[in-house]
Amino acid sequence: MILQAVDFIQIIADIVAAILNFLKLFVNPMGEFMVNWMEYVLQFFPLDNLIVYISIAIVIVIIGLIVNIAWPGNKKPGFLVKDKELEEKVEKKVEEIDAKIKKKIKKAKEKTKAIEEKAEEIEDKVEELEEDIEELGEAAEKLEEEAEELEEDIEELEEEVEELEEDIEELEEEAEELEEKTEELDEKPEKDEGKSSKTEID
Amino acid sequence: MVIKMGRFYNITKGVIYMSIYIVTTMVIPYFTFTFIKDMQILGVNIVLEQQDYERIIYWVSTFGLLISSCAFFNYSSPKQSIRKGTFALIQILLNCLYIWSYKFSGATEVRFEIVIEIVNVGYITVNVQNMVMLYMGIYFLTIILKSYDFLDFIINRKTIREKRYKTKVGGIDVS
Repeated sequence: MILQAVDFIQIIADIVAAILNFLKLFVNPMGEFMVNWMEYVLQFFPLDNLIVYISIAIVIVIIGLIVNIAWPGNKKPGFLVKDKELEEKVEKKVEEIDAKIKKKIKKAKEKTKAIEEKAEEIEDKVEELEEDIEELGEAAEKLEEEAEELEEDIEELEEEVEELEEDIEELEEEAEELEEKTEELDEKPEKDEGKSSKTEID
Repeated sequence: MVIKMGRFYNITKGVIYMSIYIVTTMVIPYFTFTFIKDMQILGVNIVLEQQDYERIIYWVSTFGLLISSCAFFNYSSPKQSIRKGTFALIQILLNCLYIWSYKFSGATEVRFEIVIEIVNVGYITVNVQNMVMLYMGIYFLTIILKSYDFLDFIINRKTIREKRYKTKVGGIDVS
């Protein structure tokens, strides 16, 4: 069992060694540089005096506490405060401009609504007028037809009148003839009376 | 998660991280070394032949204390602040020293003796020096990264602060 475990450890060691050999070229020079400066620095670290390190750690923690209480990092620096004032002014102006634009948009919308309403009214009126025109056109056509009929009637009446006038003329002529005849007839009895008287005398 | 910055929040955050570092850099190593001091595997006593056990614990405690206190300062500071950058860098350097302390205190080359019923049958030596060197290389890169952050916080201080305070919440820490 121990031998098997040792073999297993050997395999792992071989794998690690292969990785290390591969990286050796790149990493070892860096590691050597690190070792050099660390060995130099470690000369200044006190040996067998844990109190020094404890006190250094406590001092660092206390300084950290003080620094974080004094400057937690959520206060804006001076140069950003001025920027903030400018930003606020700009924001106010932007808000004002926005309000003005909104008012203008409202007015424009109201005007467009009124115009649309007027346009609708005009359209309705135009439709009504068109209907009236159609009706008038129809009425005009009827009137024209009636006028034509009247003209025809007038012509017929004129013809009738002419005929009547002719009849009247004929009748007048006949009347004149009759008058002449009556006159002649009137004259005839007078002559007959004269003849008779003459005969009586005789 | 968006949380407002403030004294209480910063200090609480610092205390939490300090506790984590105390556990990982001091408590766990202490118990680990105490445990392997008298270890028994498969019924076989493996005695830690490490003369400088107390020395290892001493260095673990010293650097553990320094790292934990720096972690408090680091994590209680506002995000992208110069003091955070400074203490983050110091913390990384102390971490390097902490790791290196394992090496120079002898903890990277531990010799275990295998004892079966009083009879010493051999020993196992665990040498993790190369692993420590690898760690050092990784830490070197981390130091470069933290140094860059630190310089960035100094150079772009104004821009960072403007960004931080332009938020309507009044400076938020999204970390």
